[in-house]
Amino acid sequence: MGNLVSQALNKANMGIMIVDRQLKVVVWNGWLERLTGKSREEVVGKNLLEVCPRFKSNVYLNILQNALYHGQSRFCSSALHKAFILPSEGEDEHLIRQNMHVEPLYQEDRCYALIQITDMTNMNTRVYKLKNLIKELETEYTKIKISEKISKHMSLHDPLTGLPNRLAYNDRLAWAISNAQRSDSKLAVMFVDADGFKQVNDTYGHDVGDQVLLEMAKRLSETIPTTDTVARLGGDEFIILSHLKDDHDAHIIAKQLEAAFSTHFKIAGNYINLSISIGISLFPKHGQEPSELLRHADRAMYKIKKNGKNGYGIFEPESDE
Amino acid sequence: MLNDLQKDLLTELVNVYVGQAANMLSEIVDKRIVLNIPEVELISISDVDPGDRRYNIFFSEGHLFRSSLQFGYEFQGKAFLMFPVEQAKVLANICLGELGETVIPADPSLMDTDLDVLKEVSNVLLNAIIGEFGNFLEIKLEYVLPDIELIYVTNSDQQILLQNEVYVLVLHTSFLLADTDVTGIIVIALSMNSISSLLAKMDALLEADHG
Repeated sequence: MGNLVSQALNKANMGIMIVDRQLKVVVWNGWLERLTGKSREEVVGKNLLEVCPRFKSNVYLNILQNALYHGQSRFCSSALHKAFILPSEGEDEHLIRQNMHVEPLYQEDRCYALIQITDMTNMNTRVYKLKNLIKELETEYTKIKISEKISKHMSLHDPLTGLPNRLAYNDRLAWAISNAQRSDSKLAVMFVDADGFKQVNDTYGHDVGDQVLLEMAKRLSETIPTTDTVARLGGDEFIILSHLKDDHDAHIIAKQLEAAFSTHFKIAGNYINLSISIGISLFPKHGQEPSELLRHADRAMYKIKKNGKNGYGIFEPESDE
Repeated sequence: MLNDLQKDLLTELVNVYVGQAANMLSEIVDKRIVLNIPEVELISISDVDPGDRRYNIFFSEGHLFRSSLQFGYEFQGKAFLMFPVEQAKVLANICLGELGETVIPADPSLMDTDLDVLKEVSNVLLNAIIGEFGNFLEIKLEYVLPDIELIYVTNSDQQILLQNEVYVLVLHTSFLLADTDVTGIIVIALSMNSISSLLAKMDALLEADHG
């Protein structure tokens, strides 16, 4: 039986050591032999502090005293203590992580402390790798969220002026129509086109043309009420969505827009005069669908262009047919 | 169930015990840890008012870290240290020197190393308290390592936490470390005989002091 127990102790996949009240090593198993390179014959009978210098620390001495004299059991976590029994020379002790259990043992009137050491190195390494991975994933996730935000903004905004683009405008118009249907309110869709913009580009170049477009966007945005939307469809075409109390309000807004372009632009030392043509369709009067309202506003704008530009016109269904 | 004098004496005794445990923990984690037990009560769980905030941990739903340590024989019972999981995670993080890390309340995932750290903390703390009760009563105690578990408590089963235990000593615990205040509770469920011997010993001590 004694031989069986001793075989089992040596085959156990953990360090098992027993010390007496004088801290003399009584049992030193095979696992400890393999780790430290110190054989049982070398160690048994020696003082633990001589064999394992880490136990000289007050914390561990107290733990052993409490087990040997007060019957206390103690658990020490590898996360806090790292290692208790150091490996044979040549191995990196800083990579070793061990859990330790200390429990009292009694035989007749004598008391011993059973010290069990479990290798946690791999588990600790896995946990820290996992923690690092989680941190990396969190950072990646934040980056992805930011770039999602940027790409969403880019997909819905005009890169030159920063105004909403056609896609965003269509979305807002559809939303505004369904809202207006519910609340029984009115809207105006205003197509705004610069008169003679091609000539600006031809005369001053595209850089100045871009500056003019930026200035146009600024004047349009500053003129309309803050609850309304101005979008750039492309080129020199802009479109405005206005919330109206009455259809007549469309005239007032159109006149204010005209007035906003009555003064010249001063760009790169050039004084540039630019008028605008505005075509307007009204909801619900001229249609219920976004595409219908846009088409009618476009028609009204085309009519203004045809009749000499620089002005605004409201869609007239009969005459347009 | 405890009169004012008994309560004061027990609070003082327990604070001395946990003070020693805190010193030991401070030495291990190399950080200053202050442990307070502001109040000690001897109650019957069935008498606890669910509206009393001090007993939130018994009556609120949620994940709970619980460590329990059985001790016996003459002074017999079971001691529990309980924290809501988020608080347990903060405590483990601080002990591991990961103070800067924020804990997401919805996901306080405790890793194996965190559980080992909490096992050691509760081992030190419960050993200190139970051990000193043994010294106070001049009784030799035998106890094993604490069992730790993560449990989910629902509104209906808080009582199950402490079922079959009639009277319990409740120690409201607060860990003060590095600008954080981690609060938990220590509950020591005692057999009737053990309660009687504890009260008798305290009364004898008070009698000697106050005549």
